[in-house]
Amino acid sequence: MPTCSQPKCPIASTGVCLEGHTRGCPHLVADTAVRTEVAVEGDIVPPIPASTPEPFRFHSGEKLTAFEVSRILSAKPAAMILLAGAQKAGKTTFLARIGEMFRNGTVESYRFAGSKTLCAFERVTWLATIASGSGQPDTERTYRSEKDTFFHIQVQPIAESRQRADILITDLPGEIFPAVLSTKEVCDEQLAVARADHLVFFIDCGSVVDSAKRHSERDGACRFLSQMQKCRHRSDNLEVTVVFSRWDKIAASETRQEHEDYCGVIEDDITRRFSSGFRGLRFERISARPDPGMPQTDAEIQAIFGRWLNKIPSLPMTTASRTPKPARDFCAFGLP
Amino acid sequence: MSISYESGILLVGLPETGKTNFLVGLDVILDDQVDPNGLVHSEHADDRAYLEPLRAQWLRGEKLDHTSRMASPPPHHLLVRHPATGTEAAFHIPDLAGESFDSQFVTRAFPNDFGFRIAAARGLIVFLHCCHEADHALFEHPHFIDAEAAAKAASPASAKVPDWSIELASKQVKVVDLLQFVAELRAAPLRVAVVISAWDLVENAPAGLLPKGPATFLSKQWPLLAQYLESNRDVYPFRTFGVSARGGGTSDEEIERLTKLVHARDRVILVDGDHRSNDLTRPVRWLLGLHEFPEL
Repeated sequence: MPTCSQPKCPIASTGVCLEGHTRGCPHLVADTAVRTEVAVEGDIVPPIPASTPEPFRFHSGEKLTAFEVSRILSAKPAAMILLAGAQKAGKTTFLARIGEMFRNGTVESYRFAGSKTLCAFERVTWLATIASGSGQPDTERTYRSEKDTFFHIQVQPIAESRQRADILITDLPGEIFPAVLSTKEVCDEQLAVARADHLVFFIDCGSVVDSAKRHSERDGACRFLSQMQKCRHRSDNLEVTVVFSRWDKIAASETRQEHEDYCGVIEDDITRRFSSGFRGLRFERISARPDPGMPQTDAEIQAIFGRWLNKIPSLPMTTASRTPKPARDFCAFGLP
Repeated sequence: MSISYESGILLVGLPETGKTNFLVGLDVILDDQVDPNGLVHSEHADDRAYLEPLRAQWLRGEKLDHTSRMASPPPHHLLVRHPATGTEAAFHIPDLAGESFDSQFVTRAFPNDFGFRIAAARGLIVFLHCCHEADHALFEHPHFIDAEAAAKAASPASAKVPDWSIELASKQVKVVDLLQFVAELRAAPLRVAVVISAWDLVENAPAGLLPKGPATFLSKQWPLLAQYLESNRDVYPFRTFGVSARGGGTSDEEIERLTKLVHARDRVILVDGDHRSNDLTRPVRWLLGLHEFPEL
């Protein structure tokens, strides 16, 4: 009977492996028995040396593919979060900051319970570490090729230590953002657009303080939200948080009040146009990696994180499994 | 020769975290146990070729030879008895080099034999060194950074900054991911004893610099690991111990101090909550489920 290097693969008992193969699966362990065969003429064929036993292989630690996410969603409920905004609006830095807060133990209401993408979290923080030798904090941007890839984190509410909740987060590469705004087809292609439970849209305050850029920034936000309403089958089940990111750019500005007022105008405009179209609409002001002397906004980031968990039915630790007929994974989008 | 994996305690830890010192110190304590509730050797294993030279080094107070990854020693066979209950047990404790665990994290795989040992293990001892930084320091406190030097330093845009590679992952991420690997292989819960080694350094640190209790130390200094274990108690029932298996440093003065103690066992420090002794078998008893027996 074949065996598999993948943990919990049922092939030995059912004959069908975790991925549906009966034979030919790359994870199957080679038969190590030494065989001696006698040829027709009676010559003894030399024994085939036993092959090295296959090692047990595990998750890569990098961002999950749509297929891997689909498997998670088939197994248990999870919140899916889409981060969107123009290039350099701070999406990845925001995500990096969440990972850093769990690693330094400053998240107040939740405990880290696991992650399939610890390496990916480390990668996005690397340029903000002294060890990187970068000289000043920075964040590596998300490339176009990373579209439809996901960070994963599992947390446990400190107040509910019998529960765990899974979160899948994808950041829309800034390079794609203009195409998503201009073409519905491109927007439709983004898997998370249709499936997300929460959208965090980033308005870059670095652009808001620049009078030549601020109108485009506002226009981009409204057009993206409008595009989301068009591309989703239902938008009234989507929670939206609009984040004024890199808030330290406004806080440090000599004309701070003017920019704050403009943010107020954006807020009013978005509220007027979209509040009835989504399940919820909130606004936050954050600086995930503030300039020297500027205050941290970890509490605001944690508030956003907490809202992601409000609506998912977190399961007791011992019964975290799902129906064999998943309704919320990517099956509907043509994935296995 | 067939190897039974049925009774195994695995020592897991990154390089230089005190695994071999613990193993040798444990061997010494098993021969010279003064705690009536502690474990003792029921007999010595037939093959002590790996342990004897290390034990001699340990007794002389010398720094132990580094465990080679290329020539991993055979699992040490430990035959123990718990006089308080009459329980006898035999274990295989492989002393793998820390680099092996580093390699497992990098390659995202366990060698086949290690995987089977994990699946059948009775308990896991996870080693952390009290002086190791769990995470990379961030540019979070710019007022502590020399502004002039920072300005002179090349910016990421203009200079070649090394890309992140998996070898550069922080220590606590490596340990947590290894535990996640282990959890994938296990069908049943696995007891974990977290050993914070070189505990003498923590005890001698100035007041307020480091938490003085092992459990608090873990939660403050290794928060990701502590939270992972705490939220996965159903998978990993765990307990944290502060251990100094050699009892001090490796300077000439320290070696002289250690070797002048009348009993070699007195070098050993073990802290478990409010309990303080030199009984290195205590973490093993916890893994065996014998710890709950009342102290005599």
